[in-house]
Amino acid sequence: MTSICFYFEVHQPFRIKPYGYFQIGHDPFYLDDNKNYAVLRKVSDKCYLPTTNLLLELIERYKGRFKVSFSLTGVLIEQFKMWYPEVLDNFKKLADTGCVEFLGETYYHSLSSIIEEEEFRKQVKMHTKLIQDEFGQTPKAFRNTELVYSDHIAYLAKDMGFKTILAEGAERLLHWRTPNYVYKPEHTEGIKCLLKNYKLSDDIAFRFSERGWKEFPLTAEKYSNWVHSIAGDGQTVNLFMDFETFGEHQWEDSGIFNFLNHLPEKIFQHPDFEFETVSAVSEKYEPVGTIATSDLVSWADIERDISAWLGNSIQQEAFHSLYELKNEVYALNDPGFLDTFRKLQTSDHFYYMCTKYFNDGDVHKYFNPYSSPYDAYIYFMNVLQDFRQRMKYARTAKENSTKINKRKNVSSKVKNKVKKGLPAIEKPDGLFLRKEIQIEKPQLQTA
Amino acid sequence: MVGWEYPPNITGGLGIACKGLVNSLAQKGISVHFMVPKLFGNEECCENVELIDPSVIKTFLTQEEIQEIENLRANVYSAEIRSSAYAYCGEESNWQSANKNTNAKDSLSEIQGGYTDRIFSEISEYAAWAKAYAKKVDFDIVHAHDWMSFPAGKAASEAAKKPLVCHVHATEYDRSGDNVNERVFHLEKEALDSCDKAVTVSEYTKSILVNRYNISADKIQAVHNGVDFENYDHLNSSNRGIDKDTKVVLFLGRITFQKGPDYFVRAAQKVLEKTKNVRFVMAGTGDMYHRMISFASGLGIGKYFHYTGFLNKDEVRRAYLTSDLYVMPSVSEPFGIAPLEAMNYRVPAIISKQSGVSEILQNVIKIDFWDVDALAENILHVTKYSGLSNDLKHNGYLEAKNVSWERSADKLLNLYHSLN
Repeated sequence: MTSICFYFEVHQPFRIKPYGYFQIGHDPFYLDDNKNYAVLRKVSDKCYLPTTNLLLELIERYKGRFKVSFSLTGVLIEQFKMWYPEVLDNFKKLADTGCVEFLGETYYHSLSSIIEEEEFRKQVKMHTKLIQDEFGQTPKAFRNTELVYSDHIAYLAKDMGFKTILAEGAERLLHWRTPNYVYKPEHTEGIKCLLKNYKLSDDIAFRFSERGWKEFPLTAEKYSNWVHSIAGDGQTVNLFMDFETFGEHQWEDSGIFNFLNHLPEKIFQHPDFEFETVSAVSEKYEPVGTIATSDLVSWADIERDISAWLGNSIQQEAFHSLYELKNEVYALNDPGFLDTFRKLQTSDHFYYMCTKYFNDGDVHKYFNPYSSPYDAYIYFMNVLQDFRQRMKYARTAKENSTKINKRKNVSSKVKNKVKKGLPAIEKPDGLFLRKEIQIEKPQLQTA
Repeated sequence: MVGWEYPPNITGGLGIACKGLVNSLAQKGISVHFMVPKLFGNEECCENVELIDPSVIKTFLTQEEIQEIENLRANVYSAEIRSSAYAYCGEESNWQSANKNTNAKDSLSEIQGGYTDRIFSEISEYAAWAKAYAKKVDFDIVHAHDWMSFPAGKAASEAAKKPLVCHVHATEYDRSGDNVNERVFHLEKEALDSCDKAVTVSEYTKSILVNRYNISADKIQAVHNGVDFENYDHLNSSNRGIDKDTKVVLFLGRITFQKGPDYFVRAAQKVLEKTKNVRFVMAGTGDMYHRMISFASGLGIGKYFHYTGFLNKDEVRRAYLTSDLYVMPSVSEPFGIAPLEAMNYRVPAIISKQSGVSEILQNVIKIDFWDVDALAENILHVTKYSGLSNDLKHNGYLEAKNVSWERSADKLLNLYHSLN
């Protein structure tokens, strides 16, 4: 028996608005609510709603034999709750079928795993809690942001109780081996690795509607034949991709929904193939080998490393300028500041600053909400300056209020005097991530 | 007078300087006909001034005369060569890119002005219009501003047999360093050789004409620019965003070789070795914009920098008013009006000695553009010692107040009289 293991990443960042120099010190709203709202609605209508509906239909049609796995980021679920709860309801329905597994990752889709272990663990815990609350499952398998993987990250995942971790099926990890088996990480016992079959994954995710591709158009039948050719030489075919592949990256008129609709039927024509979730595959098979890397491997770009987020000096500067605030944010221990600090960690902000404008650059440009990577950097750094200043005000305010409270023996009269005598602190306007946006809710398009 | 642009449709300081001179001359009773390649209708005109462009000139001409000039356009266009004249303005203003679009649509359209790849053919056509106008209208002196207008000035002067004054606001060496465009250089050189008098915006520019263009010093007179002084309420207009206890150091101008942005970044690095309580703001854009951003972040000091991109007039004012120090490290600046603006807004200024404006200012700190150590030291001094910065603020303000266009106009009048 060979398992087909579909895993879909579902994520939308909270994008930062064009935040100019003159907004520093005056504008506590960092996020581009209108854009974020518009993107969420658009992608939901084009992809999330129709695809979840189709998956529900397929699960019902094949009576539990069709299975998939998902990972939804916390920042995405927040957006669903605010702007499109119907989509979240669909994911809950999928959870209720028993055929869908939800994986663990960082709540904020951050790269904290490569720089701040403590912060990383906190974000993973937040995400686990969220998945329990929303879908009634406790994630057993872990996928790090952008599939960023190393021996150490595998260890951290195991240490947090995960049984499986996903990684890119990169040559650097596999060498001559195929991704179609279960592996285990070097140095860490008790956790298994599933590696993405990037050839077969990218046939759907990237090449499906590419007219210049010699296999165009890709039919469910043709694709099933490729999958079936693995029979007898593999335990699993790991098809990992962005969920937005369906309807957003590959548009509806490309026939992508039709393809997905007919794929199970064609796959099942071979009796030795089944669909399984990530954890089921992992439990079913013993590892055949070890995966070892001290370098970071991701699923992005041709390099399959972290250069899409930290490849140039502006990205590194922005990244380190953010993370060096960690201790200060922790010390302040204010939920609003913590949440903002973390929303700024979402990897997309750094991706927008990528200046690799060659082959991979096309992809970068497509996703970039700003007119240039330098603009992305400038807005981010302006936001960071405002954030630092607001933290400073908040810290001063906190220190002053503790000072007053410590003077227990003074009468309240004197206390008031002391209060009056305090140096005027510029009161921060409050730290809110978003204004209540005034958008008329469009009528829900039921699929 | 023959110019190439007039406010508000400008790409740089040339149009502003022309307007300042024209208005002050007009107030002194001089009647000025100011010619530009194209009027947009939004120009502000005062008494004694007539703004003209080819469409105005046409009303003076017969159909045959107009036809003659328009035939010329077709001939010249075919001989056109792409030029590197873009370097002059560096950044595209909306006005300029709008021009480009029209050109793309109709390559034989009317003369547009601006700095497009058609500039050389437009210059020739512009001269033909100027010549035709000079034959119809009576005047005493032809005064042309910068190389784009020199052929037109020369044509008008020859047609009417009146003296020609060539006003140099910037030379090709200021604009391009040592990579001069030969064609531009020759336009400049030819006009400067044949004119009756050359005016430069500074002694510094005069020395360039003498040394690089081999023009006799006797023939050149420096007439420094003025500034339109703005009265504002400096107590209520600041609206500062950066923390009060953090000092803001401002670079404002095109981010291009000529303005020395890299010296600003290098100096910032040295300042930051001593104090972190300072932010460096680079306001403007230009061909070195992205390179400077990467440069600063590569040095690990990006988080002390902010970039504003292109600023409109109100934003420029706000940038000054929210800064503690203005720095102009220009490699070569024929005049440089920005320090005067800074002083107008009570912002202390450090400027390079390689600027014309440094010749007329006392209450600023002057450094050599390449002396990064001196620049860094002085940034530290001004941001640290409030006595020094208060002095510069106060005295600089009073000093800038006296740098008026009227003073420039008086000098020009004397020069005009010497020609008649």
